[in-house]
Amino acid sequence: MNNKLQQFLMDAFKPYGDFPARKDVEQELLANLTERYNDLKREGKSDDEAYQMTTDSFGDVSELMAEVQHAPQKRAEQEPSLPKTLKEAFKLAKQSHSKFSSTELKQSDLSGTNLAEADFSFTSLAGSNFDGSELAGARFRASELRGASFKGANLTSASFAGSDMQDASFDNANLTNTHFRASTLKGVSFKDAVLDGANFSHSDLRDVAFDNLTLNGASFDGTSLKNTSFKNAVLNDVSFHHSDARHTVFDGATMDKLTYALLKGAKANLDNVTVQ
Amino acid sequence: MLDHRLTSDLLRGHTDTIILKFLCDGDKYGYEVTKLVYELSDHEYELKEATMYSSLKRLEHDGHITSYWGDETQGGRRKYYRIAPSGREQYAVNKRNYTYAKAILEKLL
Repeated sequence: MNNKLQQFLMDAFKPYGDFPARKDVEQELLANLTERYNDLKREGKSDDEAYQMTTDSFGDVSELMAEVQHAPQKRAEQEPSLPKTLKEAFKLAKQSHSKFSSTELKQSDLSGTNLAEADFSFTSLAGSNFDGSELAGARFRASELRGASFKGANLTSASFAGSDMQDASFDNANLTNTHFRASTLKGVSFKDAVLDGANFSHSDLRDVAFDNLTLNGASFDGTSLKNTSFKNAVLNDVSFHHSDARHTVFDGATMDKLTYALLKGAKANLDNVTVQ
Repeated sequence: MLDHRLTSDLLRGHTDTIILKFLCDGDKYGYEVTKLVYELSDHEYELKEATMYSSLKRLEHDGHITSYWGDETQGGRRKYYRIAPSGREQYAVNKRNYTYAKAILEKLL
């Protein structure tokens, strides 16, 4: 009879596969069922009657599994790896529109994460990794982003205001209509980035290279451009109002007449420039 | 007899409290609890194995009870449950809540 009850339990748990506590659960339940069966037999029930009554008393296996599966999941929540927690947290942030303002998140791995519209204002994210992440419309006001990596990230219409992103990397990033207002961008890398309509007004762009890039409708008003390089870049409708371009490099660049006129006014050296 | 399903739903809501109470008197294993419920209810109420087991797991997970294996060999091993201090507290709280609800229901029903 023990075997028959064992089979009954095995069948009951079959749909749940090999969950971690299965052996324990089955052992414990088998002891309970066996004892009930033996009691029923002692009361004079036939084998079949006793078996029927015992299995009838078992109830709904799904009710039991709700608790069994619930427990290990809760434990897992308490000790996940840190990067995972952060990713999940930001995933939730995106869904709930919560803010991560004023948070200390240095060196976080947030690569490949959907963080569209997230608010990272006043957050310390120095050295953090946002490679390949979805950050359209994200906000970084007064954020600490020194050395952060945004390689291949989508930052369309994102805004960085008053943020420090010295030596950060935006290689291959989509920076269409991204706003970098009054931010420190010294030494930032924009290799192969898309910068259509990007706005760098009042930012520090010293030592930044925009070499070989096509800049349509970008704005560099009031920026520090010392040692900034636009070698072989294509500049269409780019504005440089109130900028000092005396020490900016434009060798090999191609630009429209309006941009050329603006740069002339900004005392830029345009000797090796092609005007279209 | 009264509508069985309804009666048992009402009772089932108190499974945790019933188990905590029984464990206050000493360690017990699953079937022992089931038998006590059946006997003390004058054979009116029988706790389903699945209901009791999920209750035990929930209480254990919440830290209200702890468990250990007995040393039986034949017919599967019994798992015994022991009440933890927080379990005693929980029982007291549940009992108070029940007494309060009962007093109100008796005025209303």
